[in-house]
Amino acid sequence: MLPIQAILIALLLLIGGIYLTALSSRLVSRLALLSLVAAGVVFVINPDLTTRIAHSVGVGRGTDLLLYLFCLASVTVFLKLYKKNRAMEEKLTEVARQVALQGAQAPQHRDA
Amino acid sequence: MRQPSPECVHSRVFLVIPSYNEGRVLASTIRGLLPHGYSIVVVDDGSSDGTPAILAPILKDLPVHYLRHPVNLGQGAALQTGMDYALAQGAEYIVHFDADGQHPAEGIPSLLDPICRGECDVAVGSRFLDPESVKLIPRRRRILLRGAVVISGILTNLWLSDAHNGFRALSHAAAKKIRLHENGFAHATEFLDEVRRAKLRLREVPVAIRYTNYSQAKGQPASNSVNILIDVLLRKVL
Repeated sequence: MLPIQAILIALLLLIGGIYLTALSSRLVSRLALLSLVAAGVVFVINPDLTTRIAHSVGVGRGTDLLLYLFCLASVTVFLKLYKKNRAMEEKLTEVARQVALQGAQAPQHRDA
Repeated sequence: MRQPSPECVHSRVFLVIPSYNEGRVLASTIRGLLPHGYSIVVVDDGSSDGTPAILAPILKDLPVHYLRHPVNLGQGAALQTGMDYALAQGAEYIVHFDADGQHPAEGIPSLLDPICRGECDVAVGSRFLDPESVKLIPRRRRILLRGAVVISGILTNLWLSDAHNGFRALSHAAAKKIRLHENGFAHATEFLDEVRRAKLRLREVPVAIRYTNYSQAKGQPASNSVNILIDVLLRKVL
């Protein structure tokens, strides 16, 4: 095994472990993550496998195929984060609105 | 000269004035509005210019409702907060009014009139219905607005003569049906979306806008229109 393979596998397992324990508790995303990590380990150990898959779908190199998939994944993540951010913003708005409404100073109240 | 219908009582008209870091000019806008006898709701959108301190002496003895967002959210959010408040206070008519004094107080009755007569539910001011007021719009802004009119028409399927005019009036029933989720300036497009979705009757009313040095310097730069467009598109897609 090459040094880079050991490093990549170690990092993959580490990230997978962190994600599983800390970030997600949904079964679907846990299973998806486990299979992703497993696939990653397989591809690291056997790099030619990606090239063979790439050839079978008409892409020249395995590296290129991974790049395309990475781009798609990035866009998906971006959209998910955007949506999440919008939802957070709406919650913040609601909280700030309630604070403003509760602290409203009406003219008659100031006289008292 | 038509007389406004008697049921359009001034004290039941609530002006909602969103303000962000406009304390000084807001104070003079409020003073200019007081003689007209409307209820005034100021929504301070988390200003950091000491707006509360600037307004304190005015608020002490004037009939003004003051609300403050603890953090800055945007003009759309401030308008919605003000509308929620005004409705809870029993407003029968709500007018969106700009803090920087670019909307003439004399335009308020013209906006309210068709609503009070029951001819429409929502009235929006337009700078393009009266040739004289078109001349007041700086040339570059005019071109920008013409473009915005087309885009807004495509997106909302409401073809108006003006776009992003913040001078609007709504009946109580219309205000209850409209809910702005767009916190920033894209709320102007969302507002029209909501009008159409709720099947409200909309009318445009000619209103001149005063382009003062202050409002020009502070107003949205033309480049911001691209930002607004992106906001609008993202909201449509996601």
